Amino acid sequence: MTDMSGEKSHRSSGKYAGNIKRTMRTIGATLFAATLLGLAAELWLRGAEAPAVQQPTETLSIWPSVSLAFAATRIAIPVIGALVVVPLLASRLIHKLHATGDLEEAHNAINRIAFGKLGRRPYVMAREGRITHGEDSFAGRVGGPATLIVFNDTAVVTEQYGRTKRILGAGRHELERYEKVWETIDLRPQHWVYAVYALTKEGIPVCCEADLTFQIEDRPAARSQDQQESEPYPYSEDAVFLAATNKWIREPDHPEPVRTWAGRVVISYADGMLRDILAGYRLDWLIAPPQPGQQPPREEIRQRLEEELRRSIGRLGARMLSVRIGKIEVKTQDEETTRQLVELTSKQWIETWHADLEARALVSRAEGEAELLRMDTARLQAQAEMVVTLTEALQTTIAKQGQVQPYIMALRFLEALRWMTYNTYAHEFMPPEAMRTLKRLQATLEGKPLLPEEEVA
Amino acid sequence: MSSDDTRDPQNGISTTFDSRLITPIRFYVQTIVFALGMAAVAYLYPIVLLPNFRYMLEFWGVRPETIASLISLLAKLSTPFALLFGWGLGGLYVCGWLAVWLKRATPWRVGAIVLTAVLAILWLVSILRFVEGKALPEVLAYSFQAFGIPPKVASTLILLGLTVGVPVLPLLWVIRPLEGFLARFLSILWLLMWLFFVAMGEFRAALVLLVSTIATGAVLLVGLRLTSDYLLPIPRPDRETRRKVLDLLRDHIMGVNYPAYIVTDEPYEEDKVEERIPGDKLSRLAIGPGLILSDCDHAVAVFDGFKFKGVHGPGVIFTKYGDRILQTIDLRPQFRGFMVEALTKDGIKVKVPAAIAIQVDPHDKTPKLGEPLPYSKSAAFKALHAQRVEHQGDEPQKSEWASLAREIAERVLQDIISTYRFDDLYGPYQPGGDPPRKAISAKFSAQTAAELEPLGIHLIGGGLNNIQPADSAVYLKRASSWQADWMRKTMLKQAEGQAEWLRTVERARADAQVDLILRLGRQLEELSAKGGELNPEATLRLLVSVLEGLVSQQPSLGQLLPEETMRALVDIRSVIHD
Repeated sequence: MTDMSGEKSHRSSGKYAGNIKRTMRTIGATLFAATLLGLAAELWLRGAEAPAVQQPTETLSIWPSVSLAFAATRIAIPVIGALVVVPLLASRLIHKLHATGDLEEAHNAINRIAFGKLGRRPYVMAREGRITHGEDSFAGRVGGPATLIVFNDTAVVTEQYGRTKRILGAGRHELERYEKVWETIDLRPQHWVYAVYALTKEGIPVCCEADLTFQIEDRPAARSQDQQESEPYPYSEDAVFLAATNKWIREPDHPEPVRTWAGRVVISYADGMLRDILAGYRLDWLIAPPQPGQQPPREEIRQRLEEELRRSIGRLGARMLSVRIGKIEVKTQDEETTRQLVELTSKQWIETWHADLEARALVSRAEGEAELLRMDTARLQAQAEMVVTLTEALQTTIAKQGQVQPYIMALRFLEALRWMTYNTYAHEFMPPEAMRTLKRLQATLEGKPLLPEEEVA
Repeated sequence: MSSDDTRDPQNGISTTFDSRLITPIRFYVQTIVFALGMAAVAYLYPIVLLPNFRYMLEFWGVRPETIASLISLLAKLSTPFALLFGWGLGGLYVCGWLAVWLKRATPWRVGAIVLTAVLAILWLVSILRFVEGKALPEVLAYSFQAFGIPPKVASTLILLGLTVGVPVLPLLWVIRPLEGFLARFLSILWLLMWLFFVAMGEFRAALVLLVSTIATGAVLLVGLRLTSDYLLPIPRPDRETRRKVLDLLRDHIMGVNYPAYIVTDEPYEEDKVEERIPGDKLSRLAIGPGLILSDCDHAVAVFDGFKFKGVHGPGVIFTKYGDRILQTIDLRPQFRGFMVEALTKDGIKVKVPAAIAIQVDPHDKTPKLGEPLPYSKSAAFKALHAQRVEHQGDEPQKSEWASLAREIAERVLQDIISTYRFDDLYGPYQPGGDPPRKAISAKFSAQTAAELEPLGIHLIGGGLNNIQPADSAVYLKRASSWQADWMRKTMLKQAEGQAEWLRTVERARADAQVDLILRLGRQLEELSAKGGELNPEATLRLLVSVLEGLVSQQPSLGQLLPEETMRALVDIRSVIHD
């Protein structure tokens, strides 16, 4: 996959060997044959004058040979012409078909396709998840042979003959005939902050920022330190292919004409999931401070979102690195509605807070007053109330009876005391011991001995 | 170093390249010139050295016979050297001649024509050297004279015809539409002339012309045939495909070809197809096919104006007479987002941003390396067949399959929403579970998929955004309702505070009562322990004494009691003691 050992093929001799070999086998051989025929014809023509070529030993010169060579090639001119016409006609077709800049570019291309590349050029470079060089060149638009340089932050899916071909990672690669880059995938961690507009359970619009970091799924195998350093962005080929084939094409007039795998992770998955999660909560729960012993709502939502994303985005060849969510606030995409909603909810929220404060103040006040009661004054007040009540009870009995009947008066006294304990709050706080004492008093008055089980009852 | 020079710090890949692309012509010119120069120098050294330094060599003891043999050998090497030199020279001719023809600027074009003319003259001159100037045989001479052509002129015409035929005949066999009758007729004519030429006794010239013609024709035809293997992105062309490509090239030479299209990745359908090689779809002279080229993510529907010829591709698609592209089909998932306005069961208008992702049904095939993006041809046909003309606005417009899917999805969603009451869309009182939107979304996907499936369209996924009321005042009303709920809670909270306060006060009150009761109980026990009689009188006295005790022990209590109570207490005591 990674052609780091490809240096060998880039030695100067290797850079041209393929093209030279193929050219010699075809054009070179044809030309040699044509020259040989031309030479034969010329020698035949010279016939008897052959000694003219067989130079006299005293006057050896290079010129007779050169002259013979020129004469031979002159005869071979029609064949040479044919060797010119063939690439010229092919170049014309390639020039038109692939809209090359000129015929020369088309000829360079057809020569590369037929005989192989000469040197390292042309090259296409992919880095930062895109083609940074050569996208509009013949190699970029139509295909190789060409050199493809892939930086370690990018993976490339190529296509050839109308089919996907292979997945290439960091390194220098040789693109084959008509092989070109189909998709580039950015292997670096992707960080997106995206505002999700959702409705609460009661249908009130809220907005929350999702802060997501993810990247292409890496290889499952453990990697050594050296591997981690040489390949900081590992990937699995399946994940890259999934990401490449999961690109969505949008409406032609849409400002975002394609939605890549990264966009899909955020918009298609995170957005929908967060919206679904938020729809399960009531507004007050979302914006209220956490109750003691409860998780903060944002953290709970974040955990749910992260769990669902980790489970789902593998389908796009992606892996979640971190999920955070921002403040949840009442908001719509319409500013005026947002203003009114914010005003309404925050006012109510303040009132709620005030009510809570007021209730706490009342409780404090009550506690303060109870303290006062324990500080005799209040207690005296209660005792005074009792003395008045009991005295009134005795006085009323005397007034009704006209004479003192101790039994009735004592009974009335205890009854009044018992009535006092029937007050809801007093009854609630009355200890059983006090109630038993009251019963015992009454029993004593009636001359009955009090049994232990009756005491309990 | 070029401006492209970079070195990635992490992987250390050097991206230093030659600043300019090495063109094959420049490379081979430089190589041949260098090779010829080296060969010339290598040959020149012994040629110059041996004759001029023979005496010195003899002085050094080299025998004269050896030197003579070496010189003789060198003389014999002149022919192989001429062959090698001629070979290189031929290569330079090819490079130079091709280079000037590849330039499009007018001066270069003029230069190319002049160079061609010069080379033609040079060749003609070299051919004429083979002509011995022999006369026509009598029979032929008389025959020509019968047509009023003098024998001398006839022989010149024959020679001219034969020489012109060397480059023209091979071209005629290639160029459409001349390769038919005309090529055959002229070939026979040329052969006749050649026979006349042989009859004249011009054997050498005849042989050179014949070999030249055959060689030129062979190079041209074989060369074009071999080159056609590389003209189109076809993996291993079979015989039939090769023939088609060659015929396409031959049609293109004279401009009688069918058009050639490239399918591009432009967003709009009308820009997707580029007619790169213009041609006549109804050309009567074309023998080769037309051409459509597409990448692995596009197929095309072809028709000839009358008949649908199927969906083809991706890759190289050959077309026939009358064929044209009906429509391109993007095989990648198509995503369509749209806003649906619908009425709920209780008549409230809502807006729902919805989205679908669709593709031409691949019949459960998934993309694989080494294959084009999958699709089913029958599904593609159905999808195209389902497209309709929309009459909205002034001009009727063709609705594409992706738009059609969107329209169907819109209607499905409207139908689903109409079965829900407005409040049910949000489920504010629903106890737990998924929000209703999720259930609606699932229903939407299932129903849309079911409706699209017979149309050859596969629904990859569908989803809904927030179901929004058309009137944003609903939001305010909902917020008000939420506010009312909270007001109730606030009041409850306040009431809770009050209750707590009451409880605390009453608790203090109860404490005081308990204190009194327990005091009574203790005194009663004390009395009982002393052996006192516990009759009603004693009990009453005890009760009253406790009350008095309370008052007397706490002077401040006495201050709190009304005077009537104090008096009544004294009265009660005196009455009891009396």
